[in-house]
Amino acid sequence: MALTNCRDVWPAISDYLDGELSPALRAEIDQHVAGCPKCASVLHGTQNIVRLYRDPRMMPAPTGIRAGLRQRIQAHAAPQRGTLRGLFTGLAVVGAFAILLLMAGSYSGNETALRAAMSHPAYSTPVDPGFVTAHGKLFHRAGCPFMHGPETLLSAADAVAAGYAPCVRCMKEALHSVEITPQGPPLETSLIR
Amino acid sequence: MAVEVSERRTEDEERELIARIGRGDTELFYELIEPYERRVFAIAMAILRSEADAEEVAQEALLKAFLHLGQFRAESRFGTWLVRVTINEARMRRRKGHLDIMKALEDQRQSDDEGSFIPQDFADWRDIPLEELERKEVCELLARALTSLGDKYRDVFILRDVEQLSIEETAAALQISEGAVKTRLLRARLMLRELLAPGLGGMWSKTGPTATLKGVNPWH
Repeated sequence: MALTNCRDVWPAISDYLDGELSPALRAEIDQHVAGCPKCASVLHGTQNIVRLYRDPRMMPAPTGIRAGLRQRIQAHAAPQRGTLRGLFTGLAVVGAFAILLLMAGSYSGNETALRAAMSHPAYSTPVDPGFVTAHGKLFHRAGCPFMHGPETLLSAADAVAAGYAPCVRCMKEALHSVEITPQGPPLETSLIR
Repeated sequence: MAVEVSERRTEDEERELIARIGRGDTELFYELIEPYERRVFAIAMAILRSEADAEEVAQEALLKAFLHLGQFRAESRFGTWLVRVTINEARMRRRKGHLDIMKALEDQRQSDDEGSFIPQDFADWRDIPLEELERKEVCELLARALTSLGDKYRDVFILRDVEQLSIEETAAALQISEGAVKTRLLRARLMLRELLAPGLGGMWSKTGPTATLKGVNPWH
């Protein structure tokens, strides 16, 4: 028995072409199409479309993919290895620095290499304030107007141990102590209230 | 294509290849992708319609595949996975760069009800002979008709008909159901037929309104 309504045929066209229909339904469609020019146009046209697009000539050929890909993979691989190596190097440097810092901390302030070669070192560890803000090569009292940029809060002892020099403005006392006793041992008492 | 690959290389061989790449023999990656390279480019090309974009996206997709090969799960075929990576990459690029009128038209078509396409043109269909594909303009015409489809229809048609994946593979690549593949495929095929029909203003109609396609007649 043939399908009578064209609208029952159209939804099955695609499955018909893919061979996904039951033999019975297929036979019904064949029968309908044989007597229906409209459905014949739809079926043949669709079949032709599928055949055309499936032709290898419709597939574009890749051109320079391989060479470009190789470059990109290499470019990616190099920084990746570099990153790993860099990470280990970085860790090693940080570790070494930490060790140096610890070692430096175990010595007195005088023996620590100064961050600023031309500055006067602190001859004493200021106890007032107990905590200072360090920036660049100097350490300051909190709120010192001569400090700019990012600051690190640390204890005065650590600042001296880390090689920061006292700010000549806000940390005068630390330097005065130098003037008072140029060759003498650190005059901690002058700074202790 | 799937048949071709399995003829040359079994799934087990492919898995072994991937394992060796994972162990550091990266040079084998080029051997792994060799049977898929053309397909990756074709998919990117069909979605993006620009050779330069397609080439870049194909490279990007293959690079991603290389970098994320460790994430590839062996339960799917490498080829299917690679197709998925390529489609995603091409879609991302398409979203980025195509806010033109074509896009607006696509969106309009996309919102159409799936599967409700009714053929309008019933002119006697004279087959376009395959030899016509020798003519560059005919190939371009077909490509242009394809690109005028909505994204979801185009993607299914490309995988199923141009790339000749099975319905199952197409569904897996696009992560949609097989039913959705069939519905969209039907619509895509019927729309293309309509676009290229010789009758009412089809792209190949001499008297059709599609001025840009004037002069290209595949029956001559």
